[in-house]
Amino acid sequence: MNVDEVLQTFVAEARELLLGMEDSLLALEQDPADGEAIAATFRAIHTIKGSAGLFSLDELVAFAHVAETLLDRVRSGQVAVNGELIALLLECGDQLGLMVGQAAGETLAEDTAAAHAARRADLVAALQSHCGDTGATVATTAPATDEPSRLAAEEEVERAHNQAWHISLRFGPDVMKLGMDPSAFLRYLGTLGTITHITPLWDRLPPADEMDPECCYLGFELDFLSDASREAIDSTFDFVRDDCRIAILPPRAALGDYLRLMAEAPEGTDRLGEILVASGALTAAEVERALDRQRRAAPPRLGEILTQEAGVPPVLVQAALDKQAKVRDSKPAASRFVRVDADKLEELINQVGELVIAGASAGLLAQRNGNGALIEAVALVERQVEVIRDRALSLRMVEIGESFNRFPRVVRDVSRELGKDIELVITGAETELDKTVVEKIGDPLMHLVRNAMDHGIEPTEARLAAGKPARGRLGLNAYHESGSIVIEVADDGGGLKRDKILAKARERGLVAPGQVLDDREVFALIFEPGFSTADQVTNLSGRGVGMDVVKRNIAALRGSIDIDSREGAGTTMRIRLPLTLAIIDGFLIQVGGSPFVVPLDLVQECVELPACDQRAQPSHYLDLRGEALPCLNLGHLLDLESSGGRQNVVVVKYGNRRAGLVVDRLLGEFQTVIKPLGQMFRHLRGIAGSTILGSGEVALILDVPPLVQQAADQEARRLGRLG
Amino acid sequence: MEIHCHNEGGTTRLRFQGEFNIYAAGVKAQLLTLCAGPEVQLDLAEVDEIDTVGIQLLLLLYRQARAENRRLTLAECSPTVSGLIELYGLRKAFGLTQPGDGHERG
Amino acid sequence: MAKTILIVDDSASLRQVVSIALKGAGYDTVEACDGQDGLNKLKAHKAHLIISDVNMPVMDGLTFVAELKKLSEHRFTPVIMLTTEAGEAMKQRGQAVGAKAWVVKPFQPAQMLLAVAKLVQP
Repeated sequence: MNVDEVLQTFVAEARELLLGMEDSLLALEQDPADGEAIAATFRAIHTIKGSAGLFSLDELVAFAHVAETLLDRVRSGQVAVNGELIALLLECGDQLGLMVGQAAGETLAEDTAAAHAARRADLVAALQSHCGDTGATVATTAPATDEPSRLAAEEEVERAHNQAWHISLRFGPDVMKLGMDPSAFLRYLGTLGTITHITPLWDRLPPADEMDPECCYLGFELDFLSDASREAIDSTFDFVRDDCRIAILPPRAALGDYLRLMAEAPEGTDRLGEILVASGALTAAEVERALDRQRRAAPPRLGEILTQEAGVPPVLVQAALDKQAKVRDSKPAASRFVRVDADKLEELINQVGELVIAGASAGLLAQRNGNGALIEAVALVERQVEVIRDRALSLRMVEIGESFNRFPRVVRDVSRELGKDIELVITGAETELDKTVVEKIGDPLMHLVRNAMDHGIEPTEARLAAGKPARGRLGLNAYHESGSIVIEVADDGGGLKRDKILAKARERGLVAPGQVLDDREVFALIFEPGFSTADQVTNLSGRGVGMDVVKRNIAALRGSIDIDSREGAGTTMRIRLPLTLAIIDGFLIQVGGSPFVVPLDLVQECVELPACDQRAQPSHYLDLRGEALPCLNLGHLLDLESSGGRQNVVVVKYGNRRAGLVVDRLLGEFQTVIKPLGQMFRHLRGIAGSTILGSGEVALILDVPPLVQQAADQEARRLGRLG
Repeated sequence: MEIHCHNEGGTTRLRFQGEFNIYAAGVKAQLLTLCAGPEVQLDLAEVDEIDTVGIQLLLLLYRQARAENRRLTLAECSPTVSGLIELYGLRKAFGLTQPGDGHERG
Repeated sequence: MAKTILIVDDSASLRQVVSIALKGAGYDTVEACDGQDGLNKLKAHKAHLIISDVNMPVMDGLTFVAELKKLSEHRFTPVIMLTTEAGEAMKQRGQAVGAKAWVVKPFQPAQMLLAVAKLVQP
């Protein structure tokens, strides 16, 4: 793996975090005191910023930084949470999303990019003003004061001859307990230059019975040849600075500096002088002159030369620590997941599909062979394959919540835009369906939601006048029903106006004069291309595009949509989708010698076609225990010659409708791997795809919903003619 | 870390095996007892990790022996042990010969 | 034998970039997504150094270090904490639990390598 590939991880992760942040902000809007929501928001920004830095996304880092600073203050209670703040942070989230998109290689039109950049500048200003900052950057206080005076004194300073840096180290007692071994720092120093001489000091090692072996008693005086900068050398000791006495003297340091070093050494001036002479850092004469100056001059000021030294242990903030020490029992980590390339999963599922076919083939051969033990063994394999199939498919099952979770924000924003008070109620978010379906259902759902808010839910005054609560209610619901997932978008608005729709449809010639339609059929008219009954075209919808597209998108997923509506009480749009697009349990039938598959979930029962109806031309309906069941003769429909023998009826149900399919033979259940039809056959009505049987034969998969519809239409026409 | 003790003709030979680091700090008392003899040889050839804790314990033993006028020597050192002794400039302290001191100033 | 470094951060991309950089410098790496996961990983791996974020779900970095100090086999493992510029107060709390080494986020991989090299050489 290389860094570019990780960038993809970053992008996915950042998007997830931004979504999570949005949730937290919306939660915060409900309860401004929600500490966990504040922490989660902070964490999201913090993590994005931290990771973005690794990819040198400087603009993103800078922007996130300002937001993070504000959130840090919010977290510590310095800045209060209010609606304005939340709106600001939501917009910052949007901008971060755009920037993440750019990192992912998405390009924006030049003027759009410029507009965003300008907007970001505004947001930064807004963030800073919320922070209470004036926007001025924090002044970096440079210790500039004593440098010039030192330069001025340059002439008078007597310098040591030592061409090497001299470093004096006394490690604090606790460094090793903190996992920091002095040797590590010396080795690191070795990467910056050469240690020409080192004198170990272990005078501090206490008597045996007092010595704590975990404590550090060592010190070093070392000379170090290096071209590295003072900062680089200095930074070697960053992590131990607080716990150690460290002095770093540059090459040809002033004798006065050495003098101070000696004076402050725990070993005493004379002992250190000896060490410096022995190591060659100073000559005996230099030490002598230095000591001589000391005797004449005032005592040296502590810590003036020593670059860093602090004997004071850091303050313990015990209270804060105790609080922090409690493990937060927050939600189980989302990060327990393994991120898998969707293509790999796709491959696996295809492979499992092949396995299913191969298994069916083996089963067929075993049956033909008639060997009992073999049949049993193959059956066992097939059962296992079935389990693997389900598991493999479940890998791709995700909670519909993933699609739902963008809506709280949408509802919030749109309701503000419309000036309506709308509450979003999400139920069944944990309902699972195939990820490929989830991805494709987002847009149609978005349209339905916007539509419901715009046209469904009435303005507040109208609601109050109608005796309804001022606050409108929009429901998103999902549940499983006989092998399908049902997604409902429900509003408690004014409902569809049946008469108005019908009048408009008649005006457009969509409904023949005198044609009688039930409610469902009337409502379905709004899915006709270019059909809009909105009185007023708003920004959001009602432009006559959309509902037909929604229906088409859903149909492309082998799904359907229908509408329940009561005038004055509200509308429910019900989308029905197959759980998966890849493999189904099928029911194998034969028509005119050709095999076909009906999705087993939709099969209710099979009955023999009564003798009186056999070969009926064309059979319209069947008396099924007193119910008139509209029937389709598949042989007629598909123009296939019946193979003779007694015919059967497969009763299928889709939604609330039932229909009978008249077929030649029933061949039983069969696991079906759906192979999509080629472009050439797309227009085929009533065929959803193909599959390969164990025998190698190709079977077409019947697309039941349009067939049920066709049966119903046929029945309606017949009744129409009769009426 | 494991310490194997072997006595022969008044000479104690201690063989150290494993990691002589901070997690082995607890051996201090045991070491002091084992090294109480008049002639002690430490075999550190099988020490595969050593840190300052190990070095300080060796220094302690060495100082203790010197103070009590006993002989304690580092008979064998693994590369990691001699590497750290070299880094810390402790060859002389342990009475080791000083190869490769040519670069030293003095 | 290469030294092993445990990277504890809730950002997978951060872990991966740091891991790539460290491996390139001759270290072995183990990744964990939060403090609790870090403790779990330490059951199976020896780490010569730990790099840990402070802000993480489930178990934050400071709790993680405090817990680490209770483990007899790992209590002396050096820890580099990742913090923000705004993290001075946090740093004090970290010092109190024994986290002395801090690296400010965001950082470049090379900066992290330098910080790591100060504590553990490959």
